[in-house]
Amino acid sequence: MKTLEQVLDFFESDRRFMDNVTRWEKIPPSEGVYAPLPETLDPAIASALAGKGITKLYSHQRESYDAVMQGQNIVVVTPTASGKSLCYNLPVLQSLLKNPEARALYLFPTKALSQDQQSELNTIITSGRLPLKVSTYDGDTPSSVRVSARNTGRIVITNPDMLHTGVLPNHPKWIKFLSHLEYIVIDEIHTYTGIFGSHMTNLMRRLKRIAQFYGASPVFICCSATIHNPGELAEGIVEQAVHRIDKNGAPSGAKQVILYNPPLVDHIQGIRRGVVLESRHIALNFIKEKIKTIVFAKSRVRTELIASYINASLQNLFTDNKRIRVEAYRGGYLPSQRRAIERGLREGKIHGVVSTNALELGIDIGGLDAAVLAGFPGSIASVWQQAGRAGRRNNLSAAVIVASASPTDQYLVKHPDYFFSKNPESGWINPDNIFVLSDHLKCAVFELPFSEGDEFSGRVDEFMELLEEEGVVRYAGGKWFWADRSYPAEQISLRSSTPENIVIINTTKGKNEVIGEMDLPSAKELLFKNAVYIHQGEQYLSKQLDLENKCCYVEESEINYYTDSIVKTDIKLLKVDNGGILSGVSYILGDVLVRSQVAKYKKLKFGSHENIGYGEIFLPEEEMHTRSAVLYLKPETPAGAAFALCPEQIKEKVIAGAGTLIKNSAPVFLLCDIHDIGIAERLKDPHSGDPSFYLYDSAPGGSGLSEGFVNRLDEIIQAAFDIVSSCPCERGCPSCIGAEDAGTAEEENVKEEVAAFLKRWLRKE
Amino acid sequence: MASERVGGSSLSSRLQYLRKTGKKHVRKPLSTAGNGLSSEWKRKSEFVYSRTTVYDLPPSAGNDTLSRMSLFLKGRPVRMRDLLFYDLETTGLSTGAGVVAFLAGFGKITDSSLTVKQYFLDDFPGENEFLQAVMSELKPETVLVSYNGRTFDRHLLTSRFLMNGMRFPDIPEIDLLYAARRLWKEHLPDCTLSTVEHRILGIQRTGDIPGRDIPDVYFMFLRLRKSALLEKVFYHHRQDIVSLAFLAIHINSLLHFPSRCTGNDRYSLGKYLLYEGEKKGEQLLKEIWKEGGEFSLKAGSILSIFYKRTGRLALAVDLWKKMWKVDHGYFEGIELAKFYEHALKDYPEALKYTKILQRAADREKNENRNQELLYRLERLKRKHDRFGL
Repeated sequence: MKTLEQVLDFFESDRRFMDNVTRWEKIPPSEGVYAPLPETLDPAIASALAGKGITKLYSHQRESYDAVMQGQNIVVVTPTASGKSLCYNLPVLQSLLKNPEARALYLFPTKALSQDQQSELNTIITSGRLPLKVSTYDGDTPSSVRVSARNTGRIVITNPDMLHTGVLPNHPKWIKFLSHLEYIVIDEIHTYTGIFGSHMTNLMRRLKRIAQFYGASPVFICCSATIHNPGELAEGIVEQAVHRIDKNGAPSGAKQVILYNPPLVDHIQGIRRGVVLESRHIALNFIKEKIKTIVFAKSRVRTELIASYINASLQNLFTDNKRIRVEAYRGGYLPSQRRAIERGLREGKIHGVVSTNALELGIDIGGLDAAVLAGFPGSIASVWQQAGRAGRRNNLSAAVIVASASPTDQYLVKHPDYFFSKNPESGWINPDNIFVLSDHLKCAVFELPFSEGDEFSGRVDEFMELLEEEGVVRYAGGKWFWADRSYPAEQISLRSSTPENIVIINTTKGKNEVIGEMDLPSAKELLFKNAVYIHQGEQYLSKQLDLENKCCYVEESEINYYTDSIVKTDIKLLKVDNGGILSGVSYILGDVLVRSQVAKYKKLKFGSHENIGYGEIFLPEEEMHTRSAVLYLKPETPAGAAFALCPEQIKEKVIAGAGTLIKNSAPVFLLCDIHDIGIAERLKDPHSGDPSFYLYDSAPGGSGLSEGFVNRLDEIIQAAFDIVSSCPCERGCPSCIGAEDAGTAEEENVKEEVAAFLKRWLRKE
Repeated sequence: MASERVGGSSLSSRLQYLRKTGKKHVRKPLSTAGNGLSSEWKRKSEFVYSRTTVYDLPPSAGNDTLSRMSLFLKGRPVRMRDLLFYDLETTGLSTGAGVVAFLAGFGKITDSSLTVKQYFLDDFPGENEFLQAVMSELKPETVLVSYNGRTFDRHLLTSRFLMNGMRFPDIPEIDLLYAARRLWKEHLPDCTLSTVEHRILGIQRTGDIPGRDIPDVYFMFLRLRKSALLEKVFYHHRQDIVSLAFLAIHINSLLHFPSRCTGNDRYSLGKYLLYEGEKKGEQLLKEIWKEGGEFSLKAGSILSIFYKRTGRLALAVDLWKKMWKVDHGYFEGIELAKFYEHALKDYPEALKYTKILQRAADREKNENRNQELLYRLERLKRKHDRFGL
């Protein structure tokens, strides 16, 4: 059995492997910085910690404890596995023991993380015999347990959605809890960006308002993964001063990061070996030595494929060695299946796991030694989070990032300096987005009437007057009262994805067993009739996708191919509200219908991924009615004239490149996440016949981003030009117009053309 | 380049418009005078009105000073006149913090009459006074009686009290929905108050308003201040309390004179009393079993299960054998088969019952049951071959 070091040595001595490595970064180990346990710490907590082998703290844990004890809000920004949860658990447990009335609220973005924290707290509480009750309160909590959670739970663990629809609108039931609320813990605060983050700020405004009504003013303890502006984001969400703690005191073992570009198989067409097969190969080298390994794949299908390939290879090698286990892990598994895999990883019974980004967040799966990233995830922040999943405090760990054929991946793998020096992304929020704000004002006035001059995001008066005109609030005696029969929180979703789920039922040989669930849009892509669906390594054939009854019937199968669906998206303009000429371009604002349809699928042979045929899919389109800003490059406008001068044969690439720039620069001005907006470019718009850009809100119904886009158009186009003209790359990269397509002719420099086009548009010549 | 800001949606453009024009809302002073309520409504305070209605009761209804309703309070003695029937009308159907009660009614039985007092909240700012009025109805000896109040009205009042800095007193409450479900669930389509009052009490309402429409009527009233809109709501609300009181009287007399009732009621009551641990329940079911009427076998099964659970197996077996003689039914047959197999390990006897049941299931083409019985037969045969001598 080889050690990780030996496997890496083997790679390093293997010429064929090294030919594909574009950078091998060796990060030296770092010593831990320690601090003693606080003297004031209750002996029961100290003994519980001793039971876990903790007799001293990392410096950031101690710093957190001291700051919180002084009543400061904090945000802790340290890497994965640096003992972040002790940063909040320690001061919270201490305060709760000292003050038998005090309560704390823990917020996690997902239910899985809540469960994880519940069991972590339980171990401390049991081993220290602390008289504190911890309750999870979410959609899965049985109603018999809810009453006791509200009345006697000292720490209540929940998620923003439940706080929004369940807790705040029923605050009188929570009087005991809320009137003694001393701490609010927001973990994984970096996930609350864009529209979701804007909702989060407003949710915190509501929570603070209700807490204040009951006489409480809680301290916020936030934790964040590494992003560019964690302090700014935390202050944006809690709207109070937040002390940033980012000096990591945890030791870390040496780490090696390898950028790997799969070899060319066809030099003339530039075709490389697939990321799935290469990742499997690399991961297998680790796993067969029982080195604990995680493989991140970018889609659910790939997750299952890589897991089953690895298992197949292991079977050949170790027919009688059944002790090596590799599992797939992704959204769509039942919670019990997920818990079992997490437990297996922690206990060391599972040696390898292939996951989507579902395991990127801080779910405790114990220490891992190697990470293999099958393709770059969407952001730099994600790369480091995924790579950080492998990392021991004392031992060596390794991360291998395998590039896919996409232009972005190819650019990053070929420009390792750029990759290693790039800052992680910033998180933007805009809590005063009036769509989001007015939604939460409805919830807030439902929860407690507003008086004239009350503050929420500023004075509420003019918003209340609007709601009064809408007929949902009533002004009487100097106050606004909720005066509608509805329950506003129920109609407002904090997340843009729909909560509807399709249940997957295995009906093989008369069975009738639920094996998983999946959100509706994904189900249309993965579970259409005749789709080959892989679940925990088992292969099924979809017999029927029943959208009406929200279920899908599958049967076990042994077909030698898998299926991959092809999604077509199209945008239809429904209604024009207004328009004109701004920033030298003709624009309109209006309602659009974004339609995506899964119309066809490919059959790909297992192993070779050879395309062996197509099939039709008959499913209704996924439709989203939203808001859009359309820019028409009409020849009589400066923008249109500027575009007309571009060389005819690369116009399509120029407009696509400019669209990418706009999409990348807009979030900074709109204070949203890049996924909150979509952009589509047309060389010839079906309505006007002009070249055009469609920028639309990703949230159904719109969230004000299209309007904001038009308002800030000057700055956004200027920023787009600044980005492209100051970008040091030669022919395009993911930081500007996107990496160059493989098939671009030498004499066509799209990047230069895009820059020239924007320059002419802005009349900078 | 021009940089005029543009708004798209109606919401944002209206907000922009408000901001630009600096238009101030001109507020009319609240009209507290005119709401057009009829003269039976007396003004209690600025925003709160009340009216009282008295109904005659049959002389027998209130003469029972100690009520059998104590059954619902773990035996705590209750006098008929301590019962306070109550019901709310609200601005929404949830118990969330934005739902307000605007109508609260209380019914009391005194000698031979029922007095119903309704309080009406004429606008939101009067809620505190309104809740004070509610509070004034609650005495230390009061026992509240509601229909679905345990999950709705009581929660809502508790919340409203808290939000107004008051505490709802800790007094007992009897929710007759639960009693009604126990008694009539099996033979009524549902157990809503309107179904129960119609089918059990024989009360027929005319021109009633559906409960779900009531919030909107109140909002309409707030805007237009025409009390005529509310007439149906006032009627509906008062009638709910009247029905509640009559229902309590009816259930009380059922509990008092179980033998006076017949058929369904008698069987349900027996079952109910049995579950409540009342001796009378067992007696009643025994009578029904022995009489051999429509509910005889049902009563027998309930009784036998009760005997089995309370460790009186001999009585249960005796009953099963008697029932078997009547109809060779599946229930008692399977119980007997289990008894012989597990308690006596008498496999041939267990086989006897199982075979008869299996043949019946086969005849009736009851596939699931047949499968289950065949499986049972297998097992019994195996055991018989192994242990039976």
